[in-house]
Amino acid sequence: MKFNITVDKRAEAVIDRGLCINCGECREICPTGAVHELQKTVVCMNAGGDAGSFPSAAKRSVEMACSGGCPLGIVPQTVAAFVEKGELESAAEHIWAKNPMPAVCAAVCEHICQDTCKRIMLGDAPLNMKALEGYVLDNTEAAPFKYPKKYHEKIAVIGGGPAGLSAAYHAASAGFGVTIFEKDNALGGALRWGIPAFRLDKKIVAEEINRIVDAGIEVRCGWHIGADHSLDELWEEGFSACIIAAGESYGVMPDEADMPGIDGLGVYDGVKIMRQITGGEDEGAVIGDAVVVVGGGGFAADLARVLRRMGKDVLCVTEESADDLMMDAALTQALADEGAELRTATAVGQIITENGKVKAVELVKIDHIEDERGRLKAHRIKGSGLNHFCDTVVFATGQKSFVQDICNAETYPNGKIKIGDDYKTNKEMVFACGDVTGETSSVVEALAAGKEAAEEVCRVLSGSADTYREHEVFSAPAVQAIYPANVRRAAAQYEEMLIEALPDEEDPFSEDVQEDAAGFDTRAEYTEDILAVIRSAGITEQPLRFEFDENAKKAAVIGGGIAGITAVVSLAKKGYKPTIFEKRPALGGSCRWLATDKRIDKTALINELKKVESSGIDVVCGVTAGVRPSVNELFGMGYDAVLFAVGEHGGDLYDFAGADLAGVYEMTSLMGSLLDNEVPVGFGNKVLVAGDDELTFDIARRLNEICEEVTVLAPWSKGSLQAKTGAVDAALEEGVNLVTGVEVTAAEGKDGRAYNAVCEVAEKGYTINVPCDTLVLNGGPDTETIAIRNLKLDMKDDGHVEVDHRLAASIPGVYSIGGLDMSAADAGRAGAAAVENRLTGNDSYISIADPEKAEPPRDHEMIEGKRPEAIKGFEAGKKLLTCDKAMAEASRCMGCGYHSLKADLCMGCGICAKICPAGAIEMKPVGESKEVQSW
Amino acid sequence: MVAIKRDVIIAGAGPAGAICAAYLARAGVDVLLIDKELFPRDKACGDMLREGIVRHIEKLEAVDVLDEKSTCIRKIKLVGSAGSEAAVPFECYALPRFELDKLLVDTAKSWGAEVRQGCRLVDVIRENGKVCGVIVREKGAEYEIRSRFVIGADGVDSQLVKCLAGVPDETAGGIGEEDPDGIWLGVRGYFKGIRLDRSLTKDQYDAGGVFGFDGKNGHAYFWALPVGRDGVKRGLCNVGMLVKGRDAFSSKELLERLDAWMGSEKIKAMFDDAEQIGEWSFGRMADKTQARKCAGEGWILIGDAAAPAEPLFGDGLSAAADTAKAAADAVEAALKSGDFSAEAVTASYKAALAKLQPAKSEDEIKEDRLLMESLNDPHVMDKIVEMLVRDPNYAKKAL
Repeated sequence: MKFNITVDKRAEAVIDRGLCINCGECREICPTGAVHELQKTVVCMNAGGDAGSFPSAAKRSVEMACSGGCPLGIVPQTVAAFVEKGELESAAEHIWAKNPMPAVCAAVCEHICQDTCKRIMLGDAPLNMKALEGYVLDNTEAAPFKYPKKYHEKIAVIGGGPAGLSAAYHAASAGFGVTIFEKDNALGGALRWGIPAFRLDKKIVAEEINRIVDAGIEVRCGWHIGADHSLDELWEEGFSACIIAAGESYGVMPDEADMPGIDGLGVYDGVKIMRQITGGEDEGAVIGDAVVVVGGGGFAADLARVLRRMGKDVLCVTEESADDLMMDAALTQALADEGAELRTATAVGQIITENGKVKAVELVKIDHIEDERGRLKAHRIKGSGLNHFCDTVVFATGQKSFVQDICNAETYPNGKIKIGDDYKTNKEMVFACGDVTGETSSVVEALAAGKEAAEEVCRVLSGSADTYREHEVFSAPAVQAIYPANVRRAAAQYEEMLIEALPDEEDPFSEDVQEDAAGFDTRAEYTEDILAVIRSAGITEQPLRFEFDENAKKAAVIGGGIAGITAVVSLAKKGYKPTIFEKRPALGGSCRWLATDKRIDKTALINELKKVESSGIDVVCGVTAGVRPSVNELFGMGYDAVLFAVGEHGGDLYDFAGADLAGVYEMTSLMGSLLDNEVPVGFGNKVLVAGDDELTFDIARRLNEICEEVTVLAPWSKGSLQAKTGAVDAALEEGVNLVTGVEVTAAEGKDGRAYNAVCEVAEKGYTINVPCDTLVLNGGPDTETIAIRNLKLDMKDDGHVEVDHRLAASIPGVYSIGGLDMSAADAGRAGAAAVENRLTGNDSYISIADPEKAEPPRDHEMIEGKRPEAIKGFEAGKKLLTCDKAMAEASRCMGCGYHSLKADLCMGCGICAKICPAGAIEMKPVGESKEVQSW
Repeated sequence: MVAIKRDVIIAGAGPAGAICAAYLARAGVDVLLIDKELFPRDKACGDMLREGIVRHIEKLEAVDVLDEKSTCIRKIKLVGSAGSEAAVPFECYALPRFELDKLLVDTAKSWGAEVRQGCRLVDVIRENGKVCGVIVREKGAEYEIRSRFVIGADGVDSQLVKCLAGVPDETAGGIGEEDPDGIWLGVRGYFKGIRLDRSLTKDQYDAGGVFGFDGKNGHAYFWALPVGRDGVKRGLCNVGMLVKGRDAFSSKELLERLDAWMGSEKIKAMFDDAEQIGEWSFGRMADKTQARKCAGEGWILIGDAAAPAEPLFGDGLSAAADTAKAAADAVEAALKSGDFSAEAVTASYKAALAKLQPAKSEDEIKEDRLLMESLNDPHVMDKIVEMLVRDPNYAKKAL
């Protein structure tokens, strides 16, 4: 019904597109339907991920909205946005509001939402929701559920599997009394017995089930409706409605006629075996040592793997051909890795028994031939029979439920209950959901079906007239379109990002698996001891505090790296008043801005640097001193001396022969992109990195995560490299190759792209060519602009400021410590001493090089990095992300969706502004009465 | 901590951004030039530098390097759909954008502009309706940089435009609207071993290229031009196509059309021994009909972000370079006078642009329209080609 109402509209909601995270809460709550969702168009201008012309790309973008990807309604974009903002609690709240069993889903859900990620359209891996969800849940505490008591009606839920639990939870949340009837002795259904422990930690299942029922749901285990109790008993007891969620807990076996020998001892259905092994039920099955599993689905694979883990000899046979398998490549790989044989296009002809016991099976080859209608049909190839000795045969070819025992509701020929869109069966007040209806095939679908069925029941019982409002998604204006060029290309670290972790509970079936897991480290280890560096720079464990005399002489130190910090701390200790200038937004230099989290503990570093910021020393960030203000301007500002402590890196590759080839990169710029989780377009796969310092090995390790082959070309012998052995060994361990005793002199190109690195082998006096498609080099200091802004400052060819043995530059009062062959802290102290000479008028000796230091050896050696071994034997119960990797992953979300509001429909109630979890909605005053249409 | 404002931040270090930065730095203005990519980097383009942009490169004292690295094209062979051909004088430098953009960034640096590569514009900072800085993402961190001016030189899909389009006031000014008809789609690839017409091509400094029209594809044209230092020697050519209308083709269809042209009677011999280098690259450009609002309080758009180009009649690079120079002048004037108001900046930007690009006469506009229409009709195009052959004066006027 459409009617007009007049409201005194004093304000209008305005949604900030930039802040909206597309959670949809405003849309769901808006009483007038003024809010709708918009999706940006993702246009791929390349042949690979062609989305067609703009209008068809727009249409596809709308269809692919990730807000519609999860059957439960979890919005990946919302989760990613919260993770990126560091608001894990809010992310968890969003997940919990939609899913009562999120930890289970994080472990076993196939995350079909990932198929809707529009990164796919750009040829990129989708956002890894599985890992993100796991990360959120692992780092937040789940609050206990609370069910309101609103209605006196009671609802019976038959079956304690995922669909039943979900139905019970949502019915209880709506305020009804709920009782779950479960035929087994524990809740969980397929979660408990159907999914092997190595895939799903049973402790998680128990925790989540307890959370649901402990809040006030009655549970009657061992109540087998249809066997020892009947549905009528429930009506008599006063239940108003019943939801059947009995699942499929019976296996299917072939008939005697089709399968001679089926009665033999040692032939079982898969469900029975799985219930016995995983569920701990006593099914009376005796499992021998040589097992044949019949079936090609995921359940058959699970069975084969479980049996393999028990040390059985397992052969899995399926009629499907290798190209047409139901199980995916990962599963077949897992089977092969774990030593279970899989034979495709093979059927069991008969089971051969001896004294009633299974002795062998006859395996028959299958040929798939097209029939007259073009469908492939399996034909047994005559004479291909082959006996395979075994003592146990397990049929995992299908599962069924016994609905007729529960009630005589109408069923399909395959035994599944017939339901309508409203989950009603043809029996009064009997609803059904989950596998028993044949409409779900995964945990998440079962959870969603349970939820929807419960909502339907509650609607009927409460007599609510609430109708479901269609969630329509529209296309955003063209200006918001996303083009590949504007998207941060995420490094292909999709799988590598995952750090495997085993469930806490011991896996009782495999000991060697445990050993594997123990060798897998989940803690980040840093290759550089940043605290040692910090202490050597003069930053003590205690807070720093300096008081300066009003007349203290002032010195400007340019560069906020370790050298610059050492210099200012050293000058401040002596009573001078230094100012440190840094062009980036904070101090730290290359340790902070050019290091990965594998190399340096940034949290510790940042904490230590805070001491400098609060010590009383002037810290000026975001200013490129030396350029603006120039040296002369600094003197004009009252500084008595200027010390350049700018980094060694960041400049161009001007003089390098081949610098203008595609595929040749300057190391620091490239590192900057990698730290942004971006990879330049056209980056290759066979990468050479020239250098020997910490940064070199750090970037090599990072590149090794995303490229096929990474080799470091270092000038000195392995033991004499500038980088610490820990960093070198870590790189080799991860598979980075190392060639020592070589210096890259040029790059040769082919069709404009790097093809060869020409290397001089110093020791031997000849050159070698190392093939590559990408070459990463050090660029020297970035001082060109300084030279332009300070014309009287003489510069050396290598880009450093020209200085004499007192470190004094060509302009009086200017000093530089660039290019000294000493540690950053020592260089900083030398610089401070030089400045002190100036401020005191003394001329004391400054040690700027170690005369004793001999040139390190240059043995030419090629060391191959360790080839990664496939992790065998186990799959994680849950997968963990580290904090920074989670942030990086979350930042890959392109934020395609946002909500928008039709102002003429808004009546200014302000509810949306109150509930918006992102604070994206503001009420703007309008100050006039407006007519609002409502439906 | 002390926060100090920069004078100008330019987002995007393509030709427009780099030229603008160079001009400003030359005038002593403190400029920070940021770009999300690492240079050198590739970009889909026709690679033609006509007089408009070369004039600016000359003023910035970098024309010698350009001259040494480029092929100089003196003549163009026009090939109509019916097979008619005409060679007409047409002067331009041809240098792959991979090299050109790096050259221009280096030029900006040599004048004293600070350049940060791998630094991505995330958002603008706005206070009291005035743009007063940017938020960037670099090296894994997001941070603010404050400035008196923000110049958007970040191309047809400008991030700055997207940030500004979020504000209703700005949307009202015409920013954020996109007219699908005013967008051109392009595809470009490089080939080596292309057989150049030796009657038009002598050496690096006297070369000829091909423009093709076939009248079947809407407002579309094709080209094959020798580019770079070795363009003539190695038969290294930029081959591509541009078509009007954002929704005209999908990129797959675009490639099919280009393929058809490359296989057409008059053209295919060129490709007999040719081998493609690298992949096809796709791009878009916005033409003048977009009429975007190009300046406001504290911000200016230049280059493709301002949609100044008129494909077919003038090259995008020259148009971009002109906006860069005009914006540099406008910013300089504002910094001098202290008047940053939207009106003042817009007015001086427009005035400076008008000085660089004199308005077209009515006759010229008519001719432009005729030429544009001719793309649709093979007969008209063939007629034009014929007229060009007959009447050298017409050629001078038309090109």
